[in-house]
Amino acid sequence: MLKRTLSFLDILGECSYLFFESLKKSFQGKVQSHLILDQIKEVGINSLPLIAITALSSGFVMTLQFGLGLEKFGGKPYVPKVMSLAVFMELSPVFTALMCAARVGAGIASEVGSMKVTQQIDALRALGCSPIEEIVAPRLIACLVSFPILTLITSFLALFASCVVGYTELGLDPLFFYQKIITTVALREFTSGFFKSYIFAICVCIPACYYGFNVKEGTKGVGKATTVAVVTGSVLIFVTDYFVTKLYWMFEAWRQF
Amino acid sequence: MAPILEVEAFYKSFGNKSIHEGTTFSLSKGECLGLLGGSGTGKSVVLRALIGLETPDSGSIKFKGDSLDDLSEEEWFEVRKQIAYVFQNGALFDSLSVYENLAFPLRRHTEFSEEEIQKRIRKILGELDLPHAENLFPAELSGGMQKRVGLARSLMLEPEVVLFDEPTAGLDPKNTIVIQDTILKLKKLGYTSVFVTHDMASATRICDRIVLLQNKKIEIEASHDELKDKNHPIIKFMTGDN
Repeated sequence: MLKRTLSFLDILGECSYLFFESLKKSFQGKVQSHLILDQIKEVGINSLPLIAITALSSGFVMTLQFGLGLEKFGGKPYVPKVMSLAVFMELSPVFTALMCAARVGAGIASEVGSMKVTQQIDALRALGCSPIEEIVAPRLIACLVSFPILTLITSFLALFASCVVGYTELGLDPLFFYQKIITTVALREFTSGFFKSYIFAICVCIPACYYGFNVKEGTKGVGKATTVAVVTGSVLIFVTDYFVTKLYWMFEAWRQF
Repeated sequence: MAPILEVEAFYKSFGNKSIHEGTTFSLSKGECLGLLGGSGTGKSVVLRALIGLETPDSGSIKFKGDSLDDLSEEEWFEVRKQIAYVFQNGALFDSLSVYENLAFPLRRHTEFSEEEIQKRIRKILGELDLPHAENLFPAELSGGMQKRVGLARSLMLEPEVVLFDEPTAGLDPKNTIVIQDTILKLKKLGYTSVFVTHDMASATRICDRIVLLQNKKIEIEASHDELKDKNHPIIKFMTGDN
Protein backbone atom coordinates (compact mmCIF):
# COMPACT_ATOMS: atom_id res chain seq x y z
CA MET A 1 0.00 0.00 0.00
CA LEU A 2 2.80 2.37 1.01
CA LYS A 3 4.72 1.45 -2.14
CA ARG A 4 1.66 2.21 -4.31
CA THR A 5 1.09 5.53 -2.56
CA LEU A 6 4.72 6.51 -3.08
CA SER A 7 4.55 5.45 -6.71
CA PHE A 8 1.36 7.51 -7.19
CA LEU A 9 3.00 10.55 -5.58
CA ASP A 10 6.04 10.03 -7.78
CA ILE A 11 3.88 10.03 -10.94
CA LEU A 12 1.98 13.09 -9.69
CA GLY A 13 5.26 14.89 -9.02
CA GLU A 14 6.71 14.08 -12.42
CA CYS A 15 3.48 15.07 -14.22
CA SER A 16 3.42 18.37 -12.31
CA TYR A 17 7.06 18.94 -13.28
CA LEU A 18 6.29 18.27 -16.96
CA PHE A 19 3.29 20.62 -16.82
CA PHE A 20 4.97 23.54 -15.05
CA GLU A 21 8.22 23.23 -17.03
CA SER A 22 6.21 23.22 -20.26
CA LEU A 23 4.35 26.34 -19.14
CA LYS A 24 7.64 27.98 -18.15
CA LYS A 25 9.28 27.19 -21.49
CA SER A 26 6.18 28.41 -23.34
CA PHE A 27 6.12 31.75 -21.49
CA GLN A 28 9.86 32.12 -22.05
CA GLY A 29 9.17 31.80 -25.79
CA LYS A 30 11.48 28.79 -26.12
CA VAL A 31 8.99 26.62 -27.98
CA GLN A 32 9.35 26.64 -31.76
CA SER A 33 6.19 27.89 -33.47
CA HIS A 34 6.38 25.35 -36.33
CA LEU A 35 6.30 22.52 -33.78
CA ILE A 36 3.16 24.01 -32.21
CA LEU A 37 1.49 24.40 -35.62
CA ASP A 38 2.34 20.79 -36.55
CA GLN A 39 0.75 19.60 -33.34
CA ILE A 40 -2.33 21.81 -33.74
CA LYS A 41 -2.84 20.15 -37.12
CA GLU A 42 -2.42 16.72 -35.54
CA VAL A 43 -4.48 17.34 -32.39
CA GLY A 44 -7.07 19.76 -33.72
CA ILE A 45 -7.62 19.49 -37.46
CA ASN A 46 -7.06 15.74 -37.75
CA SER A 47 -9.50 15.12 -34.87
CA LEU A 48 -12.34 16.95 -36.62
CA PRO A 49 -13.93 13.94 -38.41
CA LEU A 50 -14.02 11.90 -35.21
CA ILE A 51 -15.36 14.85 -33.22
CA ALA A 52 -18.03 15.56 -35.85
CA ILE A 53 -19.30 11.97 -35.83
CA THR A 54 -19.35 11.92 -32.02
CA ALA A 55 -21.14 15.26 -31.81
CA LEU A 56 -23.80 14.40 -34.38
CA SER A 57 -24.44 10.92 -32.94
CA SER A 58 -24.71 12.13 -29.37
CA GLY A 59 -26.97 15.00 -30.46
CA PHE A 60 -29.29 12.59 -32.29
CA VAL A 61 -29.44 10.01 -29.49
CA MET A 62 -29.76 12.37 -26.54
CA THR A 63 -32.56 14.35 -28.19
CA LEU A 64 -34.43 11.17 -28.99
CA GLN A 65 -34.04 9.90 -25.42
CA PHE A 66 -35.02 13.21 -23.80
CA GLY A 67 -37.84 13.86 -26.27
CA LEU A 68 -39.49 10.45 -26.03
CA GLY A 69 -38.91 10.30 -22.27
CA LEU A 70 -40.30 13.76 -21.54
CA GLU A 71 -43.21 13.33 -23.99
CA LYS A 72 -44.96 11.06 -21.45
CA PHE A 73 -45.07 13.95 -19.00
CA GLY A 74 -45.82 16.64 -21.57
CA GLY A 75 -42.30 17.93 -21.31
CA LYS A 76 -41.41 17.82 -24.99
CA PRO A 77 -41.05 21.64 -25.29
CA TYR A 78 -38.31 21.50 -22.68
CA VAL A 79 -36.09 19.41 -24.94
CA PRO A 80 -34.19 22.40 -26.48
CA LYS A 81 -33.57 23.88 -23.03
CA VAL A 82 -32.38 20.60 -21.52
CA MET A 83 -30.27 19.75 -24.55
CA SER A 84 -28.58 23.11 -24.80
CA LEU A 85 -27.62 23.13 -21.12
CA ALA A 86 -26.48 19.50 -21.23
CA VAL A 87 -24.48 20.05 -24.41
CA PHE A 88 -22.71 23.26 -23.44
CA MET A 89 -22.01 22.40 -19.81
CA GLU A 90 -21.37 18.66 -19.89
CA LEU A 91 -21.68 16.62 -23.05
CA SER A 92 -19.44 18.61 -25.40
CA PRO A 93 -16.44 19.10 -23.13
CA VAL A 94 -16.58 15.53 -21.79
CA PHE A 95 -17.27 13.73 -25.08
CA THR A 96 -14.69 15.83 -26.94
CA ALA A 97 -12.08 15.15 -24.27
CA LEU A 98 -12.85 11.42 -24.18
CA MET A 99 -12.52 11.13 -27.95
CA CYS A 100 -9.28 13.11 -27.80
CA ALA A 101 -8.01 10.94 -24.93
CA ALA A 102 -8.47 7.95 -27.21
CA ARG A 103 -7.05 9.52 -30.38
CA VAL A 104 -4.62 12.21 -29.23
CA GLY A 105 -3.57 10.64 -25.90
CA ALA A 106 -2.83 7.31 -27.55
CA GLY A 107 -0.97 9.07 -30.37
CA ILE A 108 1.20 11.09 -28.01
CA ALA A 109 2.03 8.15 -25.71
CA SER A 110 2.92 5.81 -28.58
CA GLU A 111 4.95 8.42 -30.47
CA VAL A 112 6.91 9.54 -27.40
CA GLY A 113 7.29 5.90 -26.27
CA SER A 114 8.69 4.89 -29.66
CA MET A 115 11.10 7.83 -29.54
CA LYS A 116 12.24 6.66 -26.12
CA VAL A 117 12.74 3.05 -27.25
CA THR A 118 14.73 4.09 -30.33
CA GLN A 119 16.91 6.48 -28.26
CA GLN A 120 15.57 9.54 -30.10
CA ILE A 121 14.90 11.27 -26.78
CA ASP A 122 18.47 10.55 -25.67
CA ALA A 123 19.61 11.89 -29.05
CA LEU A 124 17.66 15.11 -28.44
CA ARG A 125 19.35 15.54 -25.08
CA ALA A 126 22.74 14.62 -26.54
CA LEU A 127 22.27 17.38 -29.14
CA GLY A 128 21.80 19.89 -26.32
CA CYS A 129 18.02 20.17 -26.69
CA SER A 130 15.34 19.87 -24.06
CA PRO A 131 12.74 17.12 -24.62
CA ILE A 132 10.24 19.32 -22.75
CA GLU A 133 10.76 22.18 -25.22
CA GLU A 134 10.73 19.90 -28.25
CA ILE A 135 8.10 17.33 -27.29
CA VAL A 136 5.90 18.19 -24.29
CA ALA A 137 5.37 21.95 -24.58
CA PRO A 138 4.28 21.97 -28.27
CA ARG A 139 1.79 19.17 -27.58
CA LEU A 140 0.47 20.85 -24.44
CA ILE A 141 0.00 24.19 -26.21
CA ALA A 142 -1.67 22.43 -29.16
CA CYS A 143 -4.07 20.64 -26.79
CA LEU A 144 -4.81 23.88 -24.90
CA VAL A 145 -5.59 25.63 -28.19
CA SER A 146 -7.46 22.77 -29.89
CA PHE A 147 -9.61 21.32 -27.11
CA PRO A 148 -11.75 24.47 -26.54
CA ILE A 149 -12.23 24.94 -30.28
CA LEU A 150 -13.15 21.28 -30.74
CA THR A 151 -15.53 21.57 -27.78
CA LEU A 152 -17.18 24.56 -29.40
CA ILE A 153 -17.54 22.69 -32.70
CA THR A 154 -18.97 19.67 -30.86
CA SER A 155 -21.52 21.93 -29.12
CA PHE A 156 -22.78 23.46 -32.35
CA LEU A 157 -22.88 20.15 -34.23
CA ALA A 158 -24.64 18.36 -31.34
CA LEU A 159 -27.27 21.11 -31.14
CA PHE A 160 -27.69 21.05 -34.91
CA ALA A 161 -28.26 17.27 -34.73
CA SER A 162 -30.63 17.84 -31.83
CA CYS A 163 -32.59 20.38 -33.87
CA VAL A 164 -32.82 17.93 -36.79
CA VAL A 165 -34.16 15.10 -34.59
CA GLY A 166 -36.40 17.59 -32.76
CA TYR A 167 -37.99 18.51 -36.07
CA THR A 168 -38.16 15.09 -37.73
CA GLU A 169 -38.96 12.86 -34.73
CA LEU A 170 -40.55 15.15 -32.16
CA GLY A 171 -42.20 17.70 -34.41
CA LEU A 172 -40.46 20.68 -32.76
CA ASP A 173 -40.19 23.79 -34.92
CA PRO A 174 -36.49 24.61 -35.67
CA LEU A 175 -37.11 28.32 -35.01
CA PHE A 176 -38.62 27.49 -31.60
CA PHE A 177 -35.63 25.23 -30.96
CA TYR A 178 -33.20 27.99 -31.87
CA GLN A 179 -34.96 30.63 -29.75
CA LYS A 180 -35.00 28.33 -26.72
CA ILE A 181 -31.27 27.68 -27.05
CA ILE A 182 -30.51 31.40 -27.31
CA THR A 183 -32.60 32.28 -24.25
CA THR A 184 -31.28 29.35 -22.17
CA VAL A 185 -27.54 29.50 -22.71
CA ALA A 186 -25.96 32.45 -20.94
CA LEU A 187 -22.28 33.31 -20.92
CA ARG A 188 -21.67 31.42 -17.66
CA GLU A 189 -23.02 28.09 -19.06
CA PHE A 190 -20.90 28.64 -22.12
CA THR A 191 -17.73 29.45 -20.17
CA SER A 192 -18.25 26.54 -17.77
CA GLY A 193 -17.84 24.03 -20.60
CA PHE A 194 -15.07 26.07 -22.14
CA PHE A 195 -13.12 26.14 -18.86
CA LYS A 196 -13.50 22.37 -18.49
CA SER A 197 -11.95 21.81 -21.89
CA TYR A 198 -8.70 23.48 -20.76
CA ILE A 199 -8.52 21.22 -17.70
CA PHE A 200 -9.25 18.15 -19.85
CA ALA A 201 -6.53 19.16 -22.33
CA ILE A 202 -3.99 18.98 -19.48
CA CYS A 203 -5.49 15.67 -18.25
CA VAL A 204 -5.01 14.08 -21.68
CA CYS A 205 -1.65 15.54 -22.74
CA ILE A 206 0.52 15.41 -19.62
CA PRO A 207 -0.10 11.75 -18.58
CA ALA A 208 0.34 10.69 -22.23
CA CYS A 209 3.75 12.40 -22.36
CA TYR A 210 4.68 11.03 -18.93
CA TYR A 211 3.88 7.41 -19.83
CA GLY A 212 5.62 7.82 -23.19
CA PHE A 213 8.79 9.07 -21.50
CA ASN A 214 8.71 6.19 -19.03
CA VAL A 215 8.44 3.28 -21.46
CA LYS A 216 10.68 0.49 -20.22
CA GLU A 217 10.13 -2.79 -22.02
CA GLY A 218 10.73 -1.99 -25.69
CA THR A 219 7.82 -2.23 -28.11
CA LYS A 220 5.72 -4.15 -25.58
CA GLY A 221 6.20 -1.23 -23.22
CA VAL A 222 5.00 1.21 -25.91
CA GLY A 223 1.69 -0.70 -26.14
CA LYS A 224 1.37 -0.78 -22.37
CA ALA A 225 2.14 2.95 -22.06
CA THR A 226 -0.45 3.78 -24.72
CA THR A 227 -3.16 1.80 -22.91
CA VAL A 228 -2.30 3.31 -19.53
CA ALA A 229 -2.22 6.82 -21.01
CA VAL A 230 -5.70 6.45 -22.51
CA VAL A 231 -7.16 4.91 -19.36
CA THR A 232 -5.54 7.52 -17.10
CA GLY A 233 -6.65 10.38 -19.35
CA SER A 234 -10.25 9.09 -19.43
CA VAL A 235 -10.44 8.50 -15.68
CA LEU A 236 -8.95 11.94 -14.99
CA ILE A 237 -11.56 13.52 -17.27
CA PHE A 238 -14.41 11.99 -15.24
CA VAL A 239 -12.82 12.73 -11.86
CA THR A 240 -11.87 16.33 -12.63
CA ASP A 241 -15.27 16.88 -14.28
CA TYR A 242 -16.95 16.27 -10.93
CA PHE A 243 -14.68 18.68 -9.08
CA VAL A 244 -14.85 21.40 -11.74
CA THR A 245 -18.66 21.12 -11.82
CA LYS A 246 -18.76 21.30 -8.02
CA LEU A 247 -16.49 24.34 -8.15
CA TYR A 248 -18.75 25.97 -10.73
CA TRP A 249 -21.87 25.56 -8.58
CA MET A 250 -20.02 26.76 -5.46
CA PHE A 251 -18.99 29.84 -7.43
CA GLU A 252 -22.58 30.32 -8.62
CA ALA A 253 -23.91 30.05 -5.05
CA TRP A 254 -21.28 32.54 -3.84
CA ARG A 255 -22.13 34.94 -6.69
CA GLN A 256 -25.85 34.85 -5.89
CA PHE A 257 -25.19 35.22 -2.17
CA MET B 1 49.36 18.20 -21.36
CA ALA B 2 46.34 18.49 -19.06
CA PRO B 3 43.67 15.90 -19.84
CA ILE B 4 40.55 17.14 -21.66
CA LEU B 5 38.31 14.46 -20.08
CA GLU B 6 38.85 12.76 -16.74
CA VAL B 7 36.81 10.01 -15.11
CA GLU B 8 37.77 9.40 -11.50
CA ALA B 9 36.54 6.53 -9.26
CA PHE B 10 33.29 6.11 -11.22
CA TYR B 11 30.69 3.93 -9.46
CA LYS B 12 27.37 2.98 -11.00
CA SER B 13 24.79 0.32 -10.23
CA PHE B 14 21.29 -0.46 -11.49
CA GLY B 15 19.17 -1.81 -8.63
CA ASN B 16 21.28 -4.43 -6.90
CA LYS B 17 23.52 -4.94 -9.92
CA SER B 18 26.80 -3.10 -9.66
CA ILE B 19 28.31 -2.20 -13.05
CA HIS B 20 31.23 0.09 -12.22
CA GLU B 21 33.32 0.03 -9.07
CA GLY B 22 35.96 2.69 -9.35
CA THR B 23 36.48 3.04 -13.10
CA THR B 24 39.18 5.64 -13.74
CA PHE B 25 40.64 6.94 -16.98
CA SER B 26 41.51 10.17 -18.72
CA LEU B 27 42.28 11.33 -22.22
CA SER B 28 44.31 14.14 -23.68
CA LYS B 29 43.30 16.58 -26.38
CA GLY B 30 43.48 14.99 -29.83
CA GLU B 31 43.74 11.47 -28.45
CA CYS B 32 41.54 8.55 -29.51
CA LEU B 33 40.84 6.18 -26.62
CA GLY B 34 39.43 2.71 -27.27
CA LEU B 35 37.16 1.37 -24.53
CA LEU B 36 36.92 -2.40 -24.81
CA GLY B 37 35.20 -5.03 -22.71
CA GLY B 38 32.79 -7.93 -22.84
CA SER B 39 29.02 -7.48 -23.17
CA GLY B 40 27.39 -6.01 -20.09
CA THR B 41 30.60 -4.60 -18.65
CA GLY B 42 29.15 -1.07 -18.78
CA LYS B 43 31.12 0.45 -21.65
CA SER B 44 28.11 2.38 -22.91
CA VAL B 45 27.11 3.32 -19.35
CA VAL B 46 30.34 5.21 -18.74
CA LEU B 47 30.12 6.77 -22.21
CA ARG B 48 26.56 7.99 -21.52
CA ALA B 49 27.72 9.38 -18.17
CA LEU B 50 30.27 11.53 -20.01
CA ILE B 51 27.40 13.57 -21.49
CA GLY B 52 25.05 13.32 -18.53
CA LEU B 53 22.68 10.70 -19.94
CA GLU B 54 23.53 8.57 -16.88
CA THR B 55 24.26 9.89 -13.40
CA PRO B 56 27.14 8.25 -11.51
CA ASP B 57 26.40 6.93 -8.02
CA SER B 58 29.72 8.41 -6.97
CA GLY B 59 32.98 9.55 -8.53
CA SER B 60 33.75 12.55 -10.63
CA ILE B 61 33.92 13.50 -14.29
CA LYS B 62 35.83 16.54 -15.45
CA PHE B 63 35.82 18.25 -18.85
CA LYS B 64 38.67 20.69 -19.52
CA GLY B 65 39.35 20.73 -15.79
CA ASP B 66 35.78 21.69 -14.82
CA SER B 67 33.72 19.24 -12.82
CA LEU B 68 30.58 17.94 -14.52
CA ASP B 69 29.18 16.64 -11.24
CA ASP B 70 25.88 18.16 -10.10
CA LEU B 71 25.27 20.07 -13.34
CA SER B 72 21.65 21.01 -14.01
CA GLU B 73 20.04 19.77 -17.24
CA GLU B 74 20.33 23.30 -18.67
CA GLU B 75 24.07 23.36 -17.89
CA TRP B 76 24.49 19.94 -19.51
CA PHE B 77 22.97 21.32 -22.73
CA GLU B 78 25.99 23.63 -23.06
CA VAL B 79 28.47 20.80 -22.39
CA ARG B 80 26.73 18.58 -24.97
CA LYS B 81 27.42 21.13 -27.69
CA GLN B 82 31.12 20.40 -27.11
CA ILE B 83 30.92 16.65 -26.50
CA ALA B 84 29.04 14.79 -29.22
CA TYR B 85 27.63 11.29 -28.88
CA VAL B 86 27.31 8.89 -31.80
CA PHE B 87 24.60 6.35 -30.97
CA GLN B 88 25.01 2.69 -31.85
CA ASN B 89 21.94 2.65 -34.13
CA GLY B 90 22.17 6.28 -35.25
CA ALA B 91 19.09 7.33 -33.19
CA LEU B 92 17.86 9.46 -36.09
CA PHE B 93 14.60 11.36 -35.72
CA ASP B 94 12.34 9.16 -37.81
CA SER B 95 9.82 11.86 -38.64
CA LEU B 96 12.53 14.01 -40.25
CA SER B 97 14.42 13.48 -43.50
CA VAL B 98 18.20 13.03 -43.51
CA TYR B 99 18.56 16.71 -44.43
CA GLU B 100 16.27 17.81 -41.58
CA ASN B 101 18.10 15.51 -39.14
CA LEU B 102 21.41 17.14 -40.04
CA ALA B 103 19.97 20.65 -40.03
CA PHE B 104 18.38 20.09 -36.60
CA PRO B 105 21.40 20.92 -34.37
CA LEU B 106 22.42 23.86 -36.60
CA ARG B 107 18.96 25.39 -36.55
CA ARG B 108 18.67 24.98 -32.79
CA HIS B 109 22.11 26.24 -31.78
CA THR B 110 23.51 28.48 -34.51
CA GLU B 111 22.50 31.57 -36.42
CA PHE B 112 23.58 30.12 -39.79
CA SER B 113 21.55 31.06 -42.84
CA GLU B 114 19.71 28.30 -44.71
CA GLU B 115 22.31 28.55 -47.51
CA GLU B 116 25.13 27.98 -45.03
CA ILE B 117 23.28 25.06 -43.45
CA GLN B 118 22.69 23.51 -46.87
CA LYS B 119 26.36 23.95 -47.79
CA ARG B 120 27.54 22.25 -44.60
CA ILE B 121 25.07 19.38 -44.95
CA ARG B 122 26.03 18.69 -48.58
CA LYS B 123 29.73 18.80 -47.66
CA ILE B 124 29.43 16.28 -44.84
CA LEU B 125 27.11 14.00 -46.83
CA GLY B 126 29.68 13.98 -49.61
CA GLU B 127 32.48 13.13 -47.18
CA LEU B 128 30.47 10.24 -45.77
CA ASP B 129 29.60 8.87 -49.21
CA LEU B 130 25.91 9.74 -48.83
CA PRO B 131 25.40 12.38 -51.53
CA HIS B 132 21.95 11.21 -52.63
CA ALA B 133 20.49 10.54 -49.20
CA GLU B 134 19.41 14.02 -48.14
CA ASN B 135 15.73 13.63 -49.01
CA LEU B 136 15.41 10.08 -47.69
CA PHE B 137 13.82 9.26 -44.34
CA PRO B 138 15.61 7.08 -41.76
CA ALA B 139 13.29 4.14 -42.46
CA GLU B 140 14.51 4.17 -46.08
CA LEU B 141 18.20 3.88 -45.09
CA SER B 142 20.25 0.76 -44.49
CA GLY B 143 21.76 0.20 -41.03
CA GLY B 144 25.16 1.37 -42.24
CA MET B 145 23.73 4.53 -43.79
CA GLN B 146 21.80 5.29 -40.59
CA LYS B 147 25.04 5.04 -38.61
CA ARG B 148 26.82 7.35 -41.02
CA VAL B 149 24.00 9.91 -40.90
CA GLY B 150 24.04 9.65 -37.08
CA LEU B 151 27.78 10.31 -37.17
CA ALA B 152 27.28 13.26 -39.52
CA ARG B 153 24.59 14.76 -37.26
CA SER B 154 26.82 14.54 -34.20
CA LEU B 155 29.58 16.42 -36.06
CA MET B 156 27.40 19.29 -37.30
CA LEU B 157 28.19 21.52 -34.30
CA GLU B 158 31.93 20.79 -34.64
CA PRO B 159 32.36 19.44 -31.10
CA GLU B 160 35.71 19.07 -29.36
CA VAL B 161 35.13 15.49 -28.23
CA VAL B 162 33.23 12.73 -30.02
CA LEU B 163 31.99 9.65 -28.16
CA PHE B 164 31.42 6.65 -30.43
CA ASP B 165 29.17 3.88 -29.12
CA GLU B 166 30.06 0.80 -31.19
CA PRO B 167 30.04 2.65 -34.51
CA THR B 168 31.15 -0.38 -36.55
CA ALA B 169 28.94 -3.02 -34.86
CA GLY B 170 26.89 -5.00 -37.37
CA LEU B 171 28.39 -3.28 -40.42
CA ASP B 172 29.65 -4.88 -43.61
CA PRO B 173 33.41 -4.47 -44.36
CA LYS B 174 32.83 -1.55 -46.78
CA ASN B 175 30.79 0.47 -44.28
CA THR B 176 33.23 -0.41 -41.50
CA ILE B 177 36.07 1.06 -43.54
CA VAL B 178 34.04 4.23 -44.32
CA ILE B 179 33.42 4.73 -40.59
CA GLN B 180 37.04 3.95 -39.69
CA ASP B 181 38.33 6.37 -42.33
CA THR B 182 35.99 9.10 -41.09
CA ILE B 183 37.20 8.66 -37.52
CA LEU B 184 40.82 8.71 -38.70
CA LYS B 185 40.09 11.90 -40.65
CA LEU B 186 38.61 13.44 -37.51
CA LYS B 187 41.71 12.42 -35.60
CA LYS B 188 43.88 14.24 -38.11
CA LEU B 189 41.69 17.32 -37.70
CA GLY B 190 42.47 17.23 -33.96
CA TYR B 191 39.21 15.81 -32.60
CA THR B 192 39.41 13.95 -29.30
CA SER B 193 37.39 10.75 -29.21
CA VAL B 194 36.35 7.78 -27.11
CA PHE B 195 35.63 4.66 -29.12
CA VAL B 196 33.56 1.92 -27.47
CA THR B 197 33.78 -1.30 -29.43
CA HIS B 198 34.06 -5.07 -29.59
CA ASP B 199 35.82 -4.74 -32.93
CA MET B 200 39.51 -5.30 -32.20
CA ALA B 201 40.58 -4.62 -35.79
CA SER B 202 38.92 -1.19 -35.79
CA ALA B 203 40.26 -0.37 -32.34
CA THR B 204 43.84 -1.20 -33.24
CA ARG B 205 43.61 0.73 -36.52
CA ILE B 206 42.08 3.86 -35.00
CA CYS B 207 42.93 4.21 -31.32
CA ASP B 208 46.06 5.71 -29.80
CA ARG B 209 45.41 3.89 -26.55
CA ILE B 210 43.09 1.08 -25.50
CA VAL B 211 41.69 0.31 -22.05
CA LEU B 212 39.93 -2.90 -21.09
CA LEU B 213 36.92 -2.85 -18.77
CA GLN B 214 36.96 -5.96 -16.65
CA ASN B 215 35.74 -6.81 -13.15
CA LYS B 216 33.80 -3.52 -12.97
CA LYS B 217 36.82 -1.30 -13.55
CA ILE B 218 39.64 -0.65 -15.99
CA GLU B 219 42.22 -3.33 -15.40
CA ILE B 220 44.51 -3.21 -18.40
CA GLU B 221 45.72 -0.36 -20.57
CA ALA B 222 47.85 -0.45 -23.69
CA SER B 223 49.24 1.99 -26.21
CA HIS B 224 48.80 1.46 -29.96
CA ASP B 225 52.37 0.13 -30.24
CA GLU B 226 52.03 -2.27 -27.32
CA LEU B 227 49.10 -3.94 -29.06
CA LYS B 228 51.35 -5.09 -31.87
CA ASP B 229 52.46 -7.82 -29.45
CA LYS B 230 50.05 -10.73 -30.06
CA ASN B 231 50.59 -11.91 -26.49
CA HIS B 232 49.33 -8.69 -24.93
CA PRO B 233 46.54 -9.46 -22.40
CA ILE B 234 44.07 -7.20 -24.26
CA ILE B 235 44.67 -9.04 -27.54
CA LYS B 236 44.32 -12.36 -25.73
CA PHE B 237 41.10 -11.21 -24.06
CA MET B 238 39.52 -9.94 -27.27
CA THR B 239 40.44 -13.07 -29.21
CA GLY B 240 39.12 -15.26 -26.38
CA ASP B 241 42.58 -16.66 -25.82
CA ASN B 242 42.99 -15.79 -22.14
